[in-house]
Parts: sequence; structure tokens; C-alpha cells
Amino acid sequence: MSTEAIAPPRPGPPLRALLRPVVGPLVAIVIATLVGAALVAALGQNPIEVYSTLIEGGIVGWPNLSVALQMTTPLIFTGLAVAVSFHAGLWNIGAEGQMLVGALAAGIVGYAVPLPPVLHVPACLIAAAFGGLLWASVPALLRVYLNVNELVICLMMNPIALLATGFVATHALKAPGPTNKLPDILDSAVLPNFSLFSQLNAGIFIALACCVAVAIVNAMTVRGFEWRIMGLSPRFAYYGGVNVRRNAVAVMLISGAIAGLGGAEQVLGVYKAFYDNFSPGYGFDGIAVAMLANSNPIGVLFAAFLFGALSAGSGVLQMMTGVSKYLVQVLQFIIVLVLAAQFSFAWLFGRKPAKPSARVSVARSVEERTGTEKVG
Amino acid sequence: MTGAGPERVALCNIAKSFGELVAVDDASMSIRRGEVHALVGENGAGKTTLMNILYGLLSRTSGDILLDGTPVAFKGPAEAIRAGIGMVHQHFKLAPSFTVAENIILGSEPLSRLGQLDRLEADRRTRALSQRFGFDLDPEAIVGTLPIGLRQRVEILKALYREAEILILDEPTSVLTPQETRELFATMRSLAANGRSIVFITHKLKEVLAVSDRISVMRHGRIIATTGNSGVSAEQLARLMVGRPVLMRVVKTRAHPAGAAALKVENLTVIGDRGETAVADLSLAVRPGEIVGLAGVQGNGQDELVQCIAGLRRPLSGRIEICGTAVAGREPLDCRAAGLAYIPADRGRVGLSRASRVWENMTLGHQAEFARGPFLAARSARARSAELIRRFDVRGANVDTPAASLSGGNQQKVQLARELTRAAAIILAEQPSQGVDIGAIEAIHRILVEMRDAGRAVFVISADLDEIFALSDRILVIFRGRIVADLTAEETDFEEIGRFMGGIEGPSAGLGRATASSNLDAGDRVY
Amino acid sequence: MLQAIGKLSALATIAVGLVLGTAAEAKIKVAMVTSESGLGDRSFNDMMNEGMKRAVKELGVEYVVIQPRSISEFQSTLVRAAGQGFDIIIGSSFDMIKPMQAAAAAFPNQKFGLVDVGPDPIASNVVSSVTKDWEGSFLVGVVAAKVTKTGTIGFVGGKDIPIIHRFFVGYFYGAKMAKPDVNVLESYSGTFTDPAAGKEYTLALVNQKSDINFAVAGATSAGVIDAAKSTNTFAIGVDSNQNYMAPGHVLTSMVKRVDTQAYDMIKEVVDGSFKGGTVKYYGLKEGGVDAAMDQYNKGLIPDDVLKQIDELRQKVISGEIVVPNYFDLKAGQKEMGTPPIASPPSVVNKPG
Repeated sequence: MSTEAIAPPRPGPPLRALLRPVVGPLVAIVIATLVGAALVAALGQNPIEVYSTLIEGGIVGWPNLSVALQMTTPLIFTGLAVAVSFHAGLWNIGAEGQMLVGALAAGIVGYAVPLPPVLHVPACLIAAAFGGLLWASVPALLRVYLNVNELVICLMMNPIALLATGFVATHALKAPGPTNKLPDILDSAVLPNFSLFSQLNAGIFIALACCVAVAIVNAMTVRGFEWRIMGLSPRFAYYGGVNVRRNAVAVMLISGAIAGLGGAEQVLGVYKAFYDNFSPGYGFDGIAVAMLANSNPIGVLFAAFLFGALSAGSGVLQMMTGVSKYLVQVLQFIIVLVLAAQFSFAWLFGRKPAKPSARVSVARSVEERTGTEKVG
Repeated sequence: MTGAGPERVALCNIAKSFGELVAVDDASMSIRRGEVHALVGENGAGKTTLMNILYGLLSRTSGDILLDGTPVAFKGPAEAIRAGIGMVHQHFKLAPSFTVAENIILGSEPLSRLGQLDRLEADRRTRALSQRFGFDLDPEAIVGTLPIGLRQRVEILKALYREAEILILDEPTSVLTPQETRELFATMRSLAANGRSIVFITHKLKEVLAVSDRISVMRHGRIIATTGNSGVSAEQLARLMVGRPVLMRVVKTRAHPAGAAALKVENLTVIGDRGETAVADLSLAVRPGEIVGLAGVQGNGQDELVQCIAGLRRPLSGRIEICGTAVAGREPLDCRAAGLAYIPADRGRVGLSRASRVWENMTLGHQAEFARGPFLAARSARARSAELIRRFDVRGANVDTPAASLSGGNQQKVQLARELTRAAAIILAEQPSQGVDIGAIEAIHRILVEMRDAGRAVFVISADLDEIFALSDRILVIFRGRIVADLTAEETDFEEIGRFMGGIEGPSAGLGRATASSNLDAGDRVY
Repeated sequence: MLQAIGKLSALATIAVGLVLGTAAEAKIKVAMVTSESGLGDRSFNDMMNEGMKRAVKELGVEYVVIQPRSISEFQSTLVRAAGQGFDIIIGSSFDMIKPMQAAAAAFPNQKFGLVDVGPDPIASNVVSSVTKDWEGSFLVGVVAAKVTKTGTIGFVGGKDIPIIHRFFVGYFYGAKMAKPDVNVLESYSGTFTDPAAGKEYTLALVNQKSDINFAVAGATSAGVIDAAKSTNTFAIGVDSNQNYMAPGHVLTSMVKRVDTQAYDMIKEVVDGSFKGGTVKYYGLKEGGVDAAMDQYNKGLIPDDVLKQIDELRQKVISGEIVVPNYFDLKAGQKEMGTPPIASPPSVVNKPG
């Protein structure tokens, strides 16, 4: 393994290089599919029939597709929020809480601040982004100035957000009626829906725009460059003169703002009011989406659509075969599990033979882990 | 040096690959009774891998191992140890908080009748063994407090306690002072004279010639030559290792230091990770146009000193000036702005992002040059990197190659290319040739000398005295966090520097036990 | 627009039908759409599922359960189900009113049912049901008055609002009817989500000698039941059968029989009497409310008391007794119902 042996000039076959980041997620999906098939068979159903119904119900025909896209939209927001932070080596797993706070902000501005339609939606969006940003600022600042693990704080901020927004929706600003919700937003704040079959709404374009914007920032700007380096090797970034603190705060705030926008989409486009506890866990699904997407903003679109289509297919699956909604959740969990396993596998063994020095191999384990996943 | 005993071990056509990567490729060698057999080769030639296979740490892809003519296949080190094979790794596997005796008996403890550890018996056996081999080790000493040289003896004794007949030493001299190295060689010779076989893995050719009976040279995973010691020169060996003629020493002219110090450290005191005083009231200065080398046994405060200069650590007190700007306690950003270029020893974590591409590694710290508003002019950054790859002769890479897939030497060149193209007045080069192939060392040294000649100040920190002497105009020796000697390179020699490094001479003379505990890191611990 | 949607849905139906190759039998097909809490909630969704099972057994229908994960999926679930050829799609929960109206408008030929909602008709192809919870409250009021040893019973409402007053008035009326001198304490915890508050308010009632307390307070009720356990008194559950939550301490539960309500909707489809746009009221007569009796509260109510309770129930069913609905009472009304009973403060002070 001298100079020549270890590093043959490798422009590399471009196709393989392109496919490399997709391999891990595909393996996860295939394994999940197989395990799911075994489960279905064990339940006495025909796996092929179940899967074809699932696919049919997920994507075939506008009714199903529009439902899939409705389910996809919040996952794009939360997945992108998590991906932005993962990309910079930060663990913002508080998208759920940030989304709730953002949704509440949008819900309040949506019903309480009468504005002309051109201004009302943007005002709600800004309020939501600000709400999410505010909620993310707690872990961000604690992380940067007191070196408290942001993962733990994010995790704790989630139930706090649920309870705090719940308080507002059930007490402080509750709309009359049996449901715990804020009053309906004004018509001027509604994001238009496209279809009767679902509450798919203009929010999906905001989600797409966010993905494109993040992709551009990541790929083309100085900040994106610095975030990428921070994500792959924080010590190298620091050594190299990157203002790691300021960037970390910025990333967390942006991540929170995106999650908050996701809340706005739900309130302005789907529910037309802030409902207590409206999210069935979009923020947590977002973590899975980001993992599946390899933290790539464009990958987030595909990963979110996969999960969204699975949810949509799940509805039809229940109608047609009576297979429980849990099948789809099991599939999602297995995908996440396999991805996590790949993650730790790479972390434990590395993809390259470790040099004999124990010191080096321990030291680089962290980079190895994220590194081998991301390069290619 | 007879070394003509019967063959104990025969490695026949051993091959080992890790996925697509062939680490050992059809290597064959034999080890005789009573010989010191040097196994030399560049970093990554497969030396350690081959020996790890013999020791049972790694399985082989193909090939046979014969021990006294019988095929063996060890499933793990435990079986190899039972068969009489011992190995001392480059990074010791000792428990630092245990005593010497405890470390030695760990894993094969003498038990009292009640099944408890018989401490007295352990001490007695350790003492007897230590005397038998002339090791002078106190069984009750805590390993963590011993200097590296003694810790290495504990490792060797540990193998001998398990009745190792064949002892593999992996780069044993890389952590030793010249004096300690000499003592180790004496031990190796006496063990060989006792009928044991020693395999000595190294890439330092002078040492090979000093101690071995036979020499096997590895390149690209193959043993390409095995020769007796007589009639071979270091240049010949180097040529075999690298596969082309190698210039063993850079040619350089006399230094012409001029102007005010580019780096000035005054009364610096730094607390290390374990709360110890790692750097104590240290002062030094490096002027433009000179290369100053900092020699010292690892763990005497070099790391902490360097980290303070680079802004990666906050000193307790004292001043650091880079081109007149006070930077002590500031961020790396500030140190760099003041005019620092820093080539860290820890390429894997600090100096490179292994997973990032070469162009990204070459661009960090140069973002300002490529910033077009908020955007990064990636195309020009890549073009510049391509140019640097050519200029610094980074082999086997294009701009998109991940840094991790480069060899150590080429990674080092990537670091150099990035750091030396900064408009920096002071170049801080930490272990610049560690883990770097011989062929690349030559180039790296040449570049550093060119930088000096271009009027930069160069500060080299190295544990390798050969390197210190090859580069430095002035040599400082650090011992227990203090500069104990400031010598002109031409007026001193290995012996003198070695004495300062060991604390035998200088302000702290007589305090023979270096606090080398800081050399331990997570990777050294066995529990 | 509607036409286009209709065509699309027809296409979707055909497509799915082709894929599955299901030979359509003559059997009536039912879809039950749960609220977001889904099956396993030991509440409405599970109870409605029981109604489905009964319909399978007695009416020979087949059914599927569709469980949306959140309110946001209600509309898409209903609309897509409408394209699948179900004979009736039955849902529950107030949050499903608007989604079902949208689905019903787009699929005017699809039959829908919505269980336990308000008195307003949903749409011309939707049958909805209103539970006469005041009659159920009347019944458990009778039970409480007959069983109390201290002569004082209590009520913990989630909030001091008309919809909860309706429960109290029924409860009060039943208690007074069974035992005119019984003392009925009225309290409101102010929250539907805080068990701790429920416990606190219950302990206060117990301090005032109340030994049976009716909890109408959502999740807060768990605290009421918990307090019953710790003070060795009785609680009365609401909505679904909560007897299991503290066996021996939940005297009974005022259950809304959503299973019966759903079953009846299916039955109407089977026998052809389904008439969209109607709102059906479910009281004691219709079997839409009841006081739950099961293995968890067995023996807590003596047999002779059970007999007396049944007599009063029959009087309600026969119309001899009309349990007052709070919403029909006038502000300041001093007496209410047949026979007249003095009004509690929440009626006397009812805002105009």
C-alpha cells in the first residue's frame, strides 16, 4: 500500500460514484420490504396483493397521489429541517416541537390579525418561521455557549412545546366547541387547496422552494461549504478558522424556522386552524426522512414522498384488505432501523481497513462514521 | 550476529485483503531461532498486517503459517501466545493505573489456594523475571507513572512472562530517546542470544543496520527481499523500500534569519487535560528565515504548546505573539488572521476532513479568496486545487478524491499545499513526516526549506530526531514543559540532544522519570 | 368540477377493483373510519368496532376499519373511501363533520353515517346521531342516589359550560327523582386534560361528605377515579365504559352506546330504510345510553336497587318521565321536568 498502491488515480466510474449514496437507503428499503412481506404472510395475507394495493393506493391516480402529496408536504419540511442540521453535524431532533410552535404562531396570526390576502399568508409564514426559530434557539444557544448536548435539549423541548401549545389551544385562546383548537383562521390566510380528495395545498410549493434554497446554499455558498466541513469534521472546521459557534447557531435557527414553516403549512393549508396535538409525529418522521435522504435536500423530497406515499397507501390498504395501519409504520421503523444499523456498522468497522494503530482508529471513528456515509 | 539457528516460523504466500484493498499480497518469510529479524518497509507496506496475521489478530485470506514445521491457524492472540508468540504493539496495551506486576500477570494470574489473586507471588515472579533479563523494573510501580521506555519493557516482560519464544516488536523505537533505544537493542540482542527470535518492525534504516541479523523488505504487501545484515547500506534498503533512489537528506544552505520574531512565546503556562502543568513558564521565539526544531520525547508539553499557538487551547498564563499580534487564548480564526499556517500532526481529525474531497480540504481557510458575495466560486477553487495537486505532487488524486483514500504522505502534501499557500509569516509544522513514506518525506522537507529560504519562519515540532536534524537551523529541547536547551544544529549531536530529552542534562537533570502519562489516550487503554 | 371528481372516482374504483380482482358479492360493505386515536382506545373507537362485529353477526355484512393518523387525514380518508364502493361509511367525532360534509357533497350517492354529534343535519346523504346524554346522566343519578350512604353525591365537570351543564341537570334530576332529600354537589375543575385537578376537586367533594362522584371531564376524569380509589368512595365514569379503571371503585359508567348507533345505521342500509339528512336521537328508549354493568362493578349495586332503577328507566322509556335537556330550559326557571323538581343553580343562573 505505498503511494501508488493505495491511491490508484481514481476519477472513478461516475455512475458508481453517483449511485453510492443511494445504495444504503435502497438496501434499507429492500430489507424493510422483505420483512414486511414476511409479516404480511405470517398474518395470512398475500404479500404481493398487499404491496400492490399499497402502491396503488399510494401513487396511482390523482386522488391517491394528491393524498400522498398532502402527507409528503409536512415531511418535506421536517425532513429538511433535520437534514439541514445533520448536514452541519448538529442533531436538531426537535423539529416536532419547532413545528408545533410555528403552527401556533401561524394559527394566532391567521385568526387574530386581519390583513389583506396578499399580506396575510406571508405574515403567517413569517410568524411560523419565527416561532420555530425561537424554539430552536434554546438548544442552539445552550449548545454553543454552555456546551450542552443539543440532542438532549431538543428531545426535552418537544413535550414542552406540545404542552405549551396545548395550553393555548385548550385554555388561553380556545375556540368554542368540543374540540381543543384555536378559532378558524380567516379566509385571507388560507393556503388554497387543489383537490377535494385531500388537503394538498399551496404549501407544497413553499416546501419545494425551501428544498431548492437549501440545496443552493449547501452546494454553492461559502456558508454551505463551511457547514459541510463542520458536519464531516467539526475539529477540522474549527482548526481551519470557521466560526463554528456562529455557524452552529445559524444552522439550528434555520432548521427551526423550516420546521416552523411546516407548522404553518398544516395550519394554513390543512386544518385552517391550530388544533391541539395535531401532529401525529411529523417531526420524528422527519428524522427518518433526513436519514433516508442522507441529509441531502433533494434526497429529502424523495424520502418524504416515499413516506407520504406509504401513508396514503396505508389508507387504501385498510379499505381494501383490512390490513392494519401498523404495517406501514412497521415498514418505516424497519427502514430507520436498517439505516441506523448501517450507520453503526460503518462506525464500528469502518469501510476501509483501519490502520493498525488503535489510536488512529478510535480517533477517526466519528469522521469515519459520517464520512463514509456521505462521500461519493 | 550469527542468527543461523533452525527455522521456527515460516510464512508461506500469505495474502490478506480488506475488501478491494490488498494489504498483504503473497508474502513469504522465515524466522529463525536466535535471530533478530528486521521487517522494514514504508508506512502501509503491510508489515504490521503481516505480523498481526502471525499473532492471530487478523485472519489471512490465503497462505500458510508453519510453526516448527507444523501448519498452524491461530484463531486469536490467545492461541498464538500459547504457542509461544508474543507481540508488543506500537501503542501499548497496558492498564496505566495498575502496577507493573499486575499488568504483567493480567490474564494469567497466579491464584492462591482460595482462588484469589496471589499478589505476593505475582510480585515475586515479576521481580525474578525482571532480574533474569536485566530489566530493572519495580513490580510495585504504577505503570502510568513510568517513562515510555520502561513501559515498553513492561510490555516485553509481559510477553516473556507468557514464555514467548518469538517476540514481535512493532515500531518499538518510535517513542524512545536515543539512549533508551540503545538499551532496547541490548535487550533484543541478549534475548536473541538466549535462543529467542525477535521480529523488529521498523522503517528506520539506521536502526535496522544496528541491530538485526537478517532484514526483510516489504513493499506493496510483498516481501521483495530478505538479506543478511552485512554488506547492505541504508541507501540500498531505502531504494528497495521505495522502489527508486532516495535522497536521504535534504540539501540546504545556511540560514539567514532576519527581522523581528514572527512567533514569540513568553512565559507560557498551560494546564493539560489531566490537570497537570503541561507547559511551564515557557518562552521561545522563531524569526523569519530560520527553521527552529523542537525536540523532545512525546508528552512533554509539545502538544499543548502547539495547540495554544494555533488557538486550539487556552493557556493559563503567558503571551503568544504572531507577527506582533497577541493571540493567546484567541480562536484559531484570529491566529490565522495574524499570520499563522499550521500543519497539525493529527491529520485525521484536525488537519483534514477525511471524508471531504481534496479540493474542499485545500479550500478551507481560503474561503475569502473564493467568496463572490455569499457564493463560493467552486470552479476557481477547484482549479486552484488542481494546480496545487500538480505543484505539490499529490499523487493518485484529483480534486474530487476523498482525502481518506490518499496515503499518509499525500494527505500531508494536501495539508502543506493548503497551509503553505496562505500568506503566513510563521509555519508551524507538527510531526511533518509522521506516517509519511520515505519518498514523500524528502519532498516535504524540501518544501519546508524552500519556505525558510523565502523568508518565512518555520517551527518544526518532531519526536523524530533524524527529522529535527535534517531540517533545523536551531534546536530547542523541551522536557516536562520547559525549554531545557537552545542549540545551534551544527554544533550539537544526537547524544547531546538525547541527554536533554531524557532530562539527564539541563535545568531538571536528575529527574529521570518523565511524566509521560500524557502519552496515553483512549486508544492505549485496554479496558 | 364535481362531475370530474365523480368520473375520477369511478375510474379509481374500477382500477382498484381490477387490481384486486375482488368478485363483488351481494354482501353489504361497511367502512368504519375511526377518530385519530384509532382502535385500542378502550373508548368510542373500540365500542364502535363492537357494533361492527354485531352487524357482521346479525346482519351478515362485511366491514373494514380505516384508521387515519390525524385529523388532517379525515377528509382524504372519507373521500377515497367514497370511491371504493362501500354501501355506507361510518365515522365518529365532531372533527369529522366538515370533512364528511365535503365528501358527502362530492359523492351524493354515497351513504354516510356520523355518530354522536350535534343536532344539526350534516348533509342530504348523511345520517347522524345525537346521544341524549342527559338521559344517561339521569340514570346514573338514580344509581348514585340509591347507593349513597352519606346522602350526599357529587359531580365533577371539566368546565362550567352549557354542554356539561346538560349532564349535571340530568344527573341532578335523576338523583332527586330517586331520593328527593339527596344532596347533590356541583363542581367544575376547569380542565378536561388534568387528572391532578380531577383528584383535587374530588377530594374536596369527599370532604363535604359526598361518597359518589360523577366525572364528566375527559382526561381529568382519571383523577376523579383515582381519588375514589384512595378515599374508598365511588366514581361514575362517562362516555365509554370506565369501570375497568378501578374495579370496585367505579360504581358504573354513563356510556354512550355508539355501537348501537352505528349498528342501527347499518341496519337501515340493509333493510333499505336509510334516509339521508336525518338526525336520530339516542336516549334510553333507543338503547343509545346506558349505565354500564360488567364484571368490574358486579355486586356494587344491590339487586333490589337495580330493580328500582329499572322501574325509573321504564318510566323514561314510556315517556312518563321527561328528563329535561338543559338547552331547552329557560333562564331563571325554578322548576323543571315532569314531575317538577326544583332547579339547581346552573339552571337558575343560566344566561339568557
